[in-house]
Amino acid sequence: MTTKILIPLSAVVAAILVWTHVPVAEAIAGLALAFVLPGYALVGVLFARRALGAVERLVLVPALSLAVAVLGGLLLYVSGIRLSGVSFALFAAGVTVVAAAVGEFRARRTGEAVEGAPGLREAVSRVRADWRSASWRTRTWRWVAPALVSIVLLGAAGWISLGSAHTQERASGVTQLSMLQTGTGLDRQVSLDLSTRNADPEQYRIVVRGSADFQASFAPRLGADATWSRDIALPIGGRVTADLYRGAEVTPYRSVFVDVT
Amino acid sequence: VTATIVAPPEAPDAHRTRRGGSRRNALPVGAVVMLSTLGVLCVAIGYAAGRTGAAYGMVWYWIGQALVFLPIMIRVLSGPLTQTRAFALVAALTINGYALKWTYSPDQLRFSDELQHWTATGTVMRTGSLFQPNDALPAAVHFPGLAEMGAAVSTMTGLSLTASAFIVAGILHLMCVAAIFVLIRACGGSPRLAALTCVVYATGLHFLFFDSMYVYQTAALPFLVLTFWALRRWGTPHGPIAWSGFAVAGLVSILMVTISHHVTSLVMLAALVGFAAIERSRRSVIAAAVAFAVVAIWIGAVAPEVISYLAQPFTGMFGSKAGNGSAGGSPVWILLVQAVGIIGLVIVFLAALRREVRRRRRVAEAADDATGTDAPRPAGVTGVDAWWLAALGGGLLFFLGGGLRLIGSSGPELAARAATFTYIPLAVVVAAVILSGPRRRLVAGGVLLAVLAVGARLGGWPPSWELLPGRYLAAGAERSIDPQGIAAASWTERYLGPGNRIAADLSGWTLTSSYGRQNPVGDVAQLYDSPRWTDADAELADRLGITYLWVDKRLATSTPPTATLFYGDPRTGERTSPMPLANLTKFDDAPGISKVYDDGAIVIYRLGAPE
Repeated sequence: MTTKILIPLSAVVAAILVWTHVPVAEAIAGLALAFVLPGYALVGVLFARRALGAVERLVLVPALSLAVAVLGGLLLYVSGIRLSGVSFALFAAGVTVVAAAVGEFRARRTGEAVEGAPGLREAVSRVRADWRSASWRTRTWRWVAPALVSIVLLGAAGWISLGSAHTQERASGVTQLSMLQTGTGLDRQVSLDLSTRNADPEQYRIVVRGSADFQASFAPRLGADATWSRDIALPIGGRVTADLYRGAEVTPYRSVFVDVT
Repeated sequence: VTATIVAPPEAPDAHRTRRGGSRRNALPVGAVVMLSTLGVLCVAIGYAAGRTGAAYGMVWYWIGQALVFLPIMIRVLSGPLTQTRAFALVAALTINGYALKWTYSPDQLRFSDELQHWTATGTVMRTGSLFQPNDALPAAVHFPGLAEMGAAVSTMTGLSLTASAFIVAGILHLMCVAAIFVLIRACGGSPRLAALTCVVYATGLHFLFFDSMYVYQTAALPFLVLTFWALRRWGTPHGPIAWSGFAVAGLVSILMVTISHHVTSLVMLAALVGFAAIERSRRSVIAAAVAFAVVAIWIGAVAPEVISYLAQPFTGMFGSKAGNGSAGGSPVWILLVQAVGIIGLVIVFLAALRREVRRRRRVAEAADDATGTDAPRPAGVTGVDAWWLAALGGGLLFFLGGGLRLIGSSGPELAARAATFTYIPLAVVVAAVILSGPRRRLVAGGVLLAVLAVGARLGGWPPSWELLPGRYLAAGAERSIDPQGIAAASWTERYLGPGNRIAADLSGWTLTSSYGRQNPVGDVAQLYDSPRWTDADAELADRLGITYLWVDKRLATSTPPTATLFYGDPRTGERTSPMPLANLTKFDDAPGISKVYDDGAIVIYRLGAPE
């Protein structure tokens, strides 16, 4: 049943979900196409029913799936097809469908039930049998509780790490002042940019000075993750300096200069 | 050939059953896994403390590291295991180990090698094409396996490139350890031997970080092991379908290794040739020949430049002391801890050799008794014997590779990189010796593994001075990849466009080549090493085609922990104090230089006028 219908059908549905960019479903479908479905179908084709153990199949399913992505990517590249989510997905789904069909054909010809991952199913069956034979208390204390606690602990570790990393990043505010010459000769001009990644809005003052007493002032107020830009035409070449001041400060907070031609 | 066990055989459980059966007394696997996972939480608390500069972080770190490793090691040593339980322990150790790596930098990739491959993957996604130039790591252009994996996952799932990289690296790392597990099982090893081999491998210098980073070696390693697994299983009778299946799996693995990583493909080739020489069977010769053909065709037709790239570290061994940006030497006390572990490994290895020599002598004497001394001896070594000999040979290479540490500036890094491969066969030998002895050997083995694990945490990656993540550190590897640097590097891509020749210190080099997609230049220490901009500096910059200068004024605030600041730094080892601030502000007064970017710490200068 699995190889006949479920696996190729899943691959086709997954490729459609990748194509249509359905949120969340796209991620699940993409992960299945990248790590599970092609490898699962190929294991069914390459190996007889009892040739592999459960752990071997667990390794081979993602390994062959990734091989499909890599070798398929090379094939697509050589064929002049752009590598994208859709082309990767269609290739992986195609391999899955063809592999499932070959597996089914071979199963009918040899009379052997070649299925996707029988070793895996047998292992699951064994675990299920163990589960049924164990008492409720044993099940809870030996398997369910440790598994749940482990998941919670890993989640807590991730939450703490992500939280502290984000806090550290937020604490390090960045204020960038830049100036680049964007025109020369009669069209000479500079592009002035100010951007901040600070948590709180702030009032700034920018003073631009150039040759022949050229001067211009700006007073942008920037919030968090904001950018301010201005193109400034210059009447004459020479060094142009832009000084950035915070609030009423008299010492430049940032300073850039460009020798304009 | 029917495999029985990787020699030497495990000791019977007599010493355990005399005490009433340790299996009954051993902790349940679920509880062991839970304890190990608790260690991840402790380390995460330590990392969080490190980010704030709190001193107690290191205590949590070591408690956590002990909890992650020791319960699993003790459970594996304490008694027989079913395959399911053994694999559950190995999987838990690997997943928890990977969680330690992820929680170190959970929001973004910070390791320079990872950023190089992050850039390569981004290029595949952006261009939809392979073999595109990558100034961050030119050699990786010709080995696109990992970039394809990352691009496939990211584009198919819609997840960010960084999240996809974390997922791909984690699954590859788990695949690698699981592949070692199934290889030992395929060679007839018990579940417990397979599990202990993986536990020993987890004490390797690079297990926690380099072997689980988003780097091309991580992509190639599991397929390297799977090549040998397929070779082993190819010889076992399972009918025509399975026979061809193992052959195809082996061929696919050889292709994947070759497409993914140059060094691993050469190691694979050497190992297959070596194994064919030992076993002299038809299948091993075929496997070596196929690997030779695939690797030769790939390197010859696709990646000829890699030959000179791979030659660089070897020429560097006998050349100058110029730094390459690696972590530098370790403190003496760390080297002592590592030395104790290495001595332990030598003792275990010698025990294995002695046992093997005795066994062979006994077998020879028995054969002579049976057939007479004039009877011809078989030409090759067959069956499990060949695999055991290969493990011993690989283990010997581990110690020979360790000798590289003593040679030149590239020696320590080369030795550590070589150990990634040679530690696999050595792990088999160590595990087999530990399990084949009496109870006291199990205890001694446990102590040895604990020492090795501590040595690996101290002497591996991240280096001892950044075991915990923390605030910015000049030329501090991951500690210098901070929001300010990332913002500046991103600015270069957005405002200057990619591919500019830019001079930078070590962290600037990493940032501009990855986030900035620039073409950073090495050997530029001279430009930063004096308080005045001279004609010689201008001439050097012109000769190197430098358009922009990346100047991080924070280099004047702290001493670089590796005593080096630049790629190809001629003063490697001599930078034992912060760089004078005048060296970094001199560019403000230099003629013909424009200051185009300033964020307070990082300043970017343009040399000459725009074209």
